[in-house]
Formats: sequence, C-alpha cells, structure tokens
Amino acid sequence: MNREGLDARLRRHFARVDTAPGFEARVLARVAALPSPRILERRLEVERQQFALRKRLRREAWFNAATALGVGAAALAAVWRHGPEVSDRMRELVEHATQGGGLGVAAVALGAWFVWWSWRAGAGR
Amino acid sequence: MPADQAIVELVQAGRGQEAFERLLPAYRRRVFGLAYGILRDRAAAEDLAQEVFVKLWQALPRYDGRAQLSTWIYAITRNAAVSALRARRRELSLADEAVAAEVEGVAAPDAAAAEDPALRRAIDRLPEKQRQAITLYYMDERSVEEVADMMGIPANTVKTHLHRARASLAAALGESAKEPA
Repeated sequence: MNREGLDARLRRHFARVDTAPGFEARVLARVAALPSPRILERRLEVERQQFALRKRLRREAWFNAATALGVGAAALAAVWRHGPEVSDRMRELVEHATQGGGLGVAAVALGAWFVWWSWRAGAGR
Repeated sequence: MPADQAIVELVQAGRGQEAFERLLPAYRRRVFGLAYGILRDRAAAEDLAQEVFVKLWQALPRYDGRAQLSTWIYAITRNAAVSALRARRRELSLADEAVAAEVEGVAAPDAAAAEDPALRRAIDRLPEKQRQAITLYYMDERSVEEVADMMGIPANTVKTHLHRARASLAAALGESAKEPA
C-alpha cells in the first residue's frame, strides 16, 4: 500500500464515524428545556451584587463597632482623668438644656434616638 | 471563517438562540471528531459532544470575541474530553490492567471498526496525539492548520504527528507507505 492507498483507507474508515441520526434535534431539545442563558446570566449578576452588598455591610458594621468602642473608651478615659470637671460640665449642660426649654430636650431626645437607631441598624446586619 | 463571523455578530446582537442554531450544524462534526479522537469511543464521544453543546449554549452570551470562535469551542471540547478520559481511566484503574485494556478496546464496536478492524486496531495502538491528529485530519479532509487549531498545538507538530502516525500504521498493516519527502 502506498501513501495514497493508506490515505484513502483512512478516509473511508473515518467517513463512517459520525453522530447518530437526530443528534442536533436531541441537543436542541435539551437546551430548550434549560432556562435562557440571559436569565442565568442575570441571576448570576444579582447573586454577585448581593454578595458584594453583604460584604460591604459587614465591613461597615465592623467599622461602626470599632468607632463606638473608640469613642466609649475615650469618654471613659476622660471621666477617669477629669471626673469632677466632667461631672460639673455635664451638670451645666443638663441645666442649660432644661433651662433652654423644649429645644434642648428635643436635642437630647434626638441624640438618644440616633444612638438607639445606630445600634439597631448594626444589630440587624 | 464567514459562518463564524455571522455567529459572532448574532451573539453580539443578543440573538443567542439564532447564533446557537447556526453554530450547532457548523460545529457538530468538528466537536464530535475532536471528542472521538480523544475518547476513541463513538457513543462516549457523542454523549460528550452533547454536553459540550449544552455548555456552549450556556456560555455563548459570555463569549467576548477575544479568541476566535473555533479556538474557543475547541478549547471547551478538549477540556471536557480530557476530563472525561481521566474519569474513565480512574474507573478502569480499579480493574486489572489487562481487563481494563480489553474493556477499552471493545467499548465502542462502531461501524468503522466493524468494516476495517485491522486499521482500527492499528489506530488504537498509536500514541494519543498521533491518533488525535490522524482522526481529525482524515475525518473531514481538514487542513493541517485547522487540525493544529483544534488540538491547540503548532502546525509543524501536527505534520510530525501525521508523518509518524502514517509510518506506524503502514508498518502495523504490514505495508510500507511510500510517503513523499
């Protein structure tokens, strides 16, 4: 057998190798049963966005907690070091607020509400 | 390839279904041939080709056109076929080696093997890359360059594989192929 003979024999051999009839119809039927790739893409995109949002909120919660801890520690240190002065100052502030009437009370209430709201928002994450 | 260009344009226009309906007949033989060249089993290659087309359907909206469409499809097919081959070998390695070889040899009694069993046996004994090159080259009269693209190797390496494979086949069939220099 020469090169041409071998080539022809190989071509004959491989010409018989093919998919079974109806291959394309079977593939199309399979993909028809799947959700559209665009929908899958959209789902993946939404999942990616939700993951990024959760990550950001977790990071912010840590930052808020650290800030609150720092402020608390600073306040404690200030009270520890300048106890009488701080208590005099606080008394003055309270007196000032109560003398100022409704506006001062409203400011204190708003501050308290903000602290409570921040705490709730942090706890909800 | 002009057909590829049309498919890419459809993908970019968001007409994935239409693109896939054109891609399927255009690549059926090539995807199947590549899978067959690696797996050496018609039924397994057909199952794998189906899986590859389902993957292509799902991945088509993400095709960004950086690689040629054919190169992208062949890479997906090669990866899937090589994974399937490894999985099959792991299964067979549980059995005795001689039994495993026997099982692999008789796994796909297809029409081609039935018509020319001596040639089929000789092809099966070729090293993997030579067998793939011979299969892809002769299955649809492809050029060396296209076979190189399908296998992901340089064209000169394909020529070497083809040359060695022909020589081995000729020797195995008890003949000498008089190849031009």
